[in-house]
Amino acid sequence: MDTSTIVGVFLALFAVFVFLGFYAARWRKGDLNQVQEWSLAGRRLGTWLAFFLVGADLYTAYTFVAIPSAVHGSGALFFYAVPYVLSTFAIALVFGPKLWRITREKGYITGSDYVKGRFDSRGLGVLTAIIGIISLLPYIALQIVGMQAVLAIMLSSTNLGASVQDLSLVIAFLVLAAFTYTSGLRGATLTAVFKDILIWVTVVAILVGVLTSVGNLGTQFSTLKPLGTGTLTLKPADSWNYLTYAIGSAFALYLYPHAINGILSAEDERKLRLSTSLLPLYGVGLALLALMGLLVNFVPSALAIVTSKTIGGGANYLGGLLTVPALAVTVLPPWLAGVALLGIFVGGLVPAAIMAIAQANLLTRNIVKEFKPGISERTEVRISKWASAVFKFLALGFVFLLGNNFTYAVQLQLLGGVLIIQLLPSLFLSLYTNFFKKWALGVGLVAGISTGLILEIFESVSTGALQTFYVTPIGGLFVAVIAVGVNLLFSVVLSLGRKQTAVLPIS
Amino acid sequence: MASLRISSGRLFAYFVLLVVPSLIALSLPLYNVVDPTLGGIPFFYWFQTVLLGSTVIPYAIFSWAENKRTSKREGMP
Repeated sequence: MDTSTIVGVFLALFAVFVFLGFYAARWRKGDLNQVQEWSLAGRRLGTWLAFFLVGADLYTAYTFVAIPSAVHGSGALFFYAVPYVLSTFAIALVFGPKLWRITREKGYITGSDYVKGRFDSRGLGVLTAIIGIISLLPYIALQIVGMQAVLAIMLSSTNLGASVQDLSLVIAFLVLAAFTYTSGLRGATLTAVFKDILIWVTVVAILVGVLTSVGNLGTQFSTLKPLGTGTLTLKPADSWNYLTYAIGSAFALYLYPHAINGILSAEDERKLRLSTSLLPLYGVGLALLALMGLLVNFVPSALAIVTSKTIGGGANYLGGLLTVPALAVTVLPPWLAGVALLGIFVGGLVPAAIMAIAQANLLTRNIVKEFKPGISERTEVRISKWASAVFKFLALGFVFLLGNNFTYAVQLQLLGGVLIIQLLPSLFLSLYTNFFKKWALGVGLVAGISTGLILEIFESVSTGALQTFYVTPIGGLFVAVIAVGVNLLFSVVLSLGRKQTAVLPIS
Repeated sequence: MASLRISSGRLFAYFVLLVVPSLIALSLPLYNVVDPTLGGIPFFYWFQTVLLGSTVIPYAIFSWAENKRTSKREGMP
């Protein structure tokens, strides 16, 4: 492995990335002391920019690192990501444009603004904001794990230890925090376009590289007994687990604050709809990357890196997380490997920025302002800017604290899903019905969150690792689906027979 | 804001365009098999990948139809 070329290309492209991040403040210049200018890029994103921005939300370390790792470790079960993204865009097409229209009419900037206005309930608004903020923490942590995997591979042949990796990560975050502070969502959007170009180059290059180096896939697959399961397809016992992972994740994705930010920053309802309908094209890349979890078994040099106990700095065992980075450095020429590694690296960094912006908005607008209503818009933006930096470092601290066993990093994203899916009735279903009453939704929300957390803790303690499925007589079920079922039960039953309290006329 | 009532025919068309792809994607017994393979890749993996890519077509048709309705509504007094 020609480390100096790889690192050189990586650093050069990282410099371009940083330039774009800062330059974005001047791009389509607006007053960045205004909330919607900083957090929603002035709400002027057209079809393609919205496509790239929302695509950037989807194409994260989840796609590059977590899913290939899980497919490598457990085979077909984690291919659930494919039906998940397929369904999630249909859900987005039903709820997204309608949410866009209502928020535009009412001047709302966050999902929590909408819930508060829709039900005339400060309590529900604050609760929505808190759930949004917390659910993103594990998701950001996942991005960091992805970046660690890239740094581990890149520095593996040097004598620099794990502390250099940690230091590099902190530096990358400082740079990111600086340009999100100055450019807001504009910085994230411009860098998202850059990141997406690199990512497509990476996906295609790795696919071609792998296919040319493995020879006859038919023979290769016939000798492969995927680890753990002994079968290439899904074990019948895992069927419900597969389906509930897909369905639960599909309903959860667009409820995340960063996804709602993406929806609201579109310029027009029609452009939003068109760009959402084209996003499955993006998903194809995800499916191909998931497949790398199996294909890596046919590339001995890459497999050696994945199974090595030492890469990642002694105690840090990254295992399957290295699948795609390892393929990049083994099947690609060094310069292209540098491009690919940077693509995967900023593939974690950009979404982390978008997520932290969304969290910061919720904190200032829907929590701080609720208790201190007098603050000026200028102060509001200033708090948001600082909060977005704090949230990034909070997630970084979380990862450093939890240490090194993240082979099943996908569970971090699934954990976020267990929490955020609880907003389904108040944020999405309420767009089309006046049926739900605020007290019922509040009780449902608390019941859903409690059920989710109790099942999470129970399963994780009894298995000794972060788990997001609960074993039932018909097989493992995704905790998010069980918990949102409890939530819906309470929300529906308690809403029955109450008189209409609709505040917002729905059309 | 004026709203256009949605006809049952249109609702059915939307169901086909938006819901049916997901129903196929979640019909595990349909694709949880190894054969026929494509270039060596088991059916389970390639079928779902192809299905995902081709879903752009119904989604884009939905978006085109719904966008026309939106434009019509905005054009109303």
